[in-house]
This record gives sequence, C-alpha cells and structure tokens, in this order.
Amino acid sequence: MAEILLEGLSKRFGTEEVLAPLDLTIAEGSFVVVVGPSGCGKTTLLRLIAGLEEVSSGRVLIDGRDVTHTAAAARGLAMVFQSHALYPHMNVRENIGFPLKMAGRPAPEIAARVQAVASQLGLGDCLARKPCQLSGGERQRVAIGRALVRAPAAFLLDEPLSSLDAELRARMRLELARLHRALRTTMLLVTHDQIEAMTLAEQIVVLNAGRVEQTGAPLALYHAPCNRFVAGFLGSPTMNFIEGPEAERQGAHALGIRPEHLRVTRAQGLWPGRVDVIEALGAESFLHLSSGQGRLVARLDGSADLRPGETVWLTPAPAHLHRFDAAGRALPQRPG
Amino acid sequence: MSSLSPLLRKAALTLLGWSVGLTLAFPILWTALVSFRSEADALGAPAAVLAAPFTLESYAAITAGTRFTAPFVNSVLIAGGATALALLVALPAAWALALFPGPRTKALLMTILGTRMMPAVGVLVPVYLLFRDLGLLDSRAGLIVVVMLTNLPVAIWMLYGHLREIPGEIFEAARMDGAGPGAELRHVIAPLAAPGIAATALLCLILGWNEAFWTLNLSAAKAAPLSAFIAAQASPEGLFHARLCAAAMLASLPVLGLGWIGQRALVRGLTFGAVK
Repeated sequence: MAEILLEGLSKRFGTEEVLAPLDLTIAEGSFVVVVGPSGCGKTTLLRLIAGLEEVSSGRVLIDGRDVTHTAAAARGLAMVFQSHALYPHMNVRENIGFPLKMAGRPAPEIAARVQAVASQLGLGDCLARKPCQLSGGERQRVAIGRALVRAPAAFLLDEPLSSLDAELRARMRLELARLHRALRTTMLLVTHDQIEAMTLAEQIVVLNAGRVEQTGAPLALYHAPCNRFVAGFLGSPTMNFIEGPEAERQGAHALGIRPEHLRVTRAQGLWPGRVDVIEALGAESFLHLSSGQGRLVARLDGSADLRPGETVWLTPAPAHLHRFDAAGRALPQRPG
Repeated sequence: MSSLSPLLRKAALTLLGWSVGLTLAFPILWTALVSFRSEADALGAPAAVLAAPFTLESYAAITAGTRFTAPFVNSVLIAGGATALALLVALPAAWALALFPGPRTKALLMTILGTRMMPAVGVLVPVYLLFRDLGLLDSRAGLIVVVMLTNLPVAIWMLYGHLREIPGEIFEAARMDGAGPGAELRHVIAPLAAPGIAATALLCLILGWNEAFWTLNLSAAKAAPLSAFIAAQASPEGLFHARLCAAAMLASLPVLGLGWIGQRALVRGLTFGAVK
C-alpha cells in the first residue's frame, strides 16, 4: 500500500504538451479513476507514474520516495495493460509467477503464491494453458493475477475492461470493486468510460486536453460540476444544455439540467415540447423531445404512458438547474 | 467447347510452368550432368555430352587429399562465424530501433540498407589496402568480419521486422514485472523472436556461404573458401570444366540442404511484416 504524490508533473512530445503541469495526491489505499475522452493524456499520465515514459518536468513520489528517475522495474508498482500484454509463450502459471521469478523468489514460494492467486481469481483450472487458449475474461483475470501476485505498492490499470464485451465488462467491474475492498491496495485506473469511473472510484479525476478539469468524489462531481465539460462528460444520457434567451433570463450563458431533473407533464409547465422518440428500457424510459429550447432528453419512470408525437410540458427542478458563464465555468446556484 | 476450354487452359498453363521451371533450372541441371563426365567429354557438343559415359573421376580428382576439405572447413568457419557475429550485433541494434524509435529511426534504417545497395567493387581498393596494412589478407578472421559486414544490413532489417511484430506492451509488462534489460532479452524477447532469429540466421548462413566477391578478392590459399575453390578450377594450367562443375555441385549441396530444411522458416522470415 502506498500514497502516490504527483508534483507539477508534465509531459511534452517535442513541442506538443500532452500533459500540463499537474498536482495530484492519490491517498494510500484509495481507488482513484482518471477519466476523460480519448487523447486527453490519461494513459500518458499512467505511464509517467509507471516509469514507462520520461517526465518532462515535475516529480513522482511513492510513499515520500522520489522515483521520478527510477526505472519502471524498481518502482514496486504493478500494471494491468489495455491489451492484457500476457506473455504468449508462457502458460498461465508462468505468466502469473513471472514477477516473483524476476524478484528472485524461491520456486516453492512462487508455486504456492501462484496457486493462491489463481484460486482467488477462479483460474485454478487453467494454470497449464497458454494465453491463446483462454477466453477474454480469463485473460483479463490472468493479467490481474500477474499484478496481484507480488503484493505491489499500488495497481495501475490502463483501460483494463475496454477489450471485454458489455456483459463481461459489468462483471469484471464488480470483481475489481470487490478486489479493492478485500485488498485495500492503492489503485489508479484510467478509462474513457464514465460509468466505470462513477461506479468504481472513490475519487474521480476528470482530464481534458492534458488538463485536470475537476477532482472529487463521484457524486460530488455529478451534482456540482465545476464547468460545462465535467457536467456534460459525467452522466448518461448526458446533461441537457440550453442557451439563448431562457439562459439569459436566468443570468447565465447556458443552463444545464440532467434528464432526471426534467419533469414531464401533460397538464402544464414551463416549456412546451413534443415527444420525438421514446427509449423504453423497462425500469426507466428516456424521452427525446423537441422544444423551443432545442432538443432535450428526460428520464422517466418505466411506467410513463406517453407516445411519440404527443405534446407535453417540461419543468426543470430549480434546485438542480446548473448555470454556466460564456467560458463554460459553473456559476453559483441562485438563492431560492 | 465450354467444358474443354478450362481443361485446355490448365494444360497450357502446366506446360508453360514446366517450361519456365526447366529453363530456369537448366544451368544447374547441365552443371550436374557435366560433373559426371570426363574432362575430355565435358567440352564436346551438347549431344556428345549427353551421350558420353557416366564417370566419377572429376569428383575423385577434386576431393583427393585435402583439396576439398580445406576450403569446405573455411566456408563453414567463415559463413558460421559471420552469421554468429552478425546476429550478435544485429539483435541489440534491431531491438533498439524497433522498441525505442526516435525521429531519425527511419533515416537510420534507410542508411543501413543503403550500404547494402552500394556496389561492393566501389570499396574494394580501400578495403584491400586496409586488409593489407592490418595483415588480414588471406585470413579467416578478416573474411569473417567482411562477410559479417555485408550481411549486417539484411540481418538488422529482418530482425527489426520481427521485433516490430511483437506488441510493445509485452516488453513494457516485463519491465513492470521487474525484469531488467538482460532478463527482458532472455525471458521475453529471445523466445518471442526465436522464429525470426532462426530465419535471419539461416539467410545469413546462405548469403555467407555463397559470398564470392570478397572471398575471391581477399583470399589466396590459406583462407580460401569453396567459392574460391570453384573459381580455382579455371586455372592457368587450363580450364577443368568437369571438375569446375563437380566443385560447384559439392559446394551447393550444404546450402541446398539448409534451404530445403528451413524453407518454411525462410519464407515466413522474408515475408514477415509484409502482410499483416
């Protein structure tokens, strides 16, 4: 277990700055998720911490020890790669045992620890198989097992679930959460999937174009985003943004309202709208509407009885109305 | 007509294929034939050569004493030594180029290949003078070095292609798992690149074995390999045509064998990275 401290960490490739100087504390035993669109620098950030990339400026400290110029092998961190990066010429037993072999542990100890990790991950039956003989989920677990086996100071996970299908991804997400609860080892995961970020993280770091937009607990970011980017990036369906006279009337350049905070009634409300499409998911329905404020999405109870083409009234919940200025920064909530 | 024409087409194509194949192989087949004729019969008209009696006297003449074994041993040592040395230099070079590409990697690779495109005769005089001053003329060590250098570009390019095929994340995973450069090379790179290394070694061996320009120009008697031995059959005392053919056949057998054994690895090695 370890605390990871980043001080003014930045990365340039030639003249292009992919990561602006950034300060971040990853508390001991916490689960931090760095989330952002592709190309935002999140994988670069992970590789800088891992020691797979030279830093351009700043420092990386693990438990107070400056490792900025320490080789990747000597940082005591374990990494799970997006492609899993299993050794194709080794079987599962050798793959999981490789870090211990490199650490010079005696063979009986390696065998015992590989066995323990394999049974913890449900891999007991495929120890003799090569990676090409495994399913996607098993490969994923072998990659995690290889990281797990030497009890690293921290785990670095680079989009570990993105290569899995939707069902498996949901299951592995749960397994990762369980694993973290059981181990309480520091985990840093990067992903472009905001659902992964919301469900796994104790702390989310939203990265955009090489800059940290906002850091905080998932629900804190969801309910109080500091700007339009964070507001639009977290949440699915995404937040509705309204510009024009209605926003100006409320003293803002743009208004933001989440789909679940838009009340839809037949009787009366603030804005009239027409139902275009209904996505009925069973427990809930997403209503896609056209209105004088542009296209809007509302989240309704699954039992809502509306039809496409119907005219309805929309009312945003005032307490959940977000206001943004022309630069996209969040404005304080209006009293009342 | 409609059912006959595909059959005719096939027959014509087969005929064409065999004619092209036989035409290409004709010099080799003729060499083999002449090597089994007496020196007197070998220089006759083609029809006479065909009709002449079978004899092993040329083979007997060229293998008498150590006439054949000495250049054979030289060929083994020069081709083998040059191959080992080329791999020793090319593997780390290809590893660095493939795994740590920089802005000038492409230019460097082209420069490496460019040295191979240069006509060897262009540097014959300086190399000859260097060899003379260093006392390397007619020495196996000197030939090993020069043959190694001519094969180095090919070896680097082939190994580079193979290493590029291996996903970089596997090497990074090894580094994260605590492997230093030595352990990474031994436990990850070497086993994964083994087929490529084998194909490269095979090609270097064949190229080194067949190398004639440098071996002819830089060797006399002591270090002369088989290529020089074949050429020596055309001597001031006269042209020994049947013996020359016998020497050529004997010299070709080892590489033919190697090529036969390794043809799958070789084809894979040469086309590796070309199609993905």
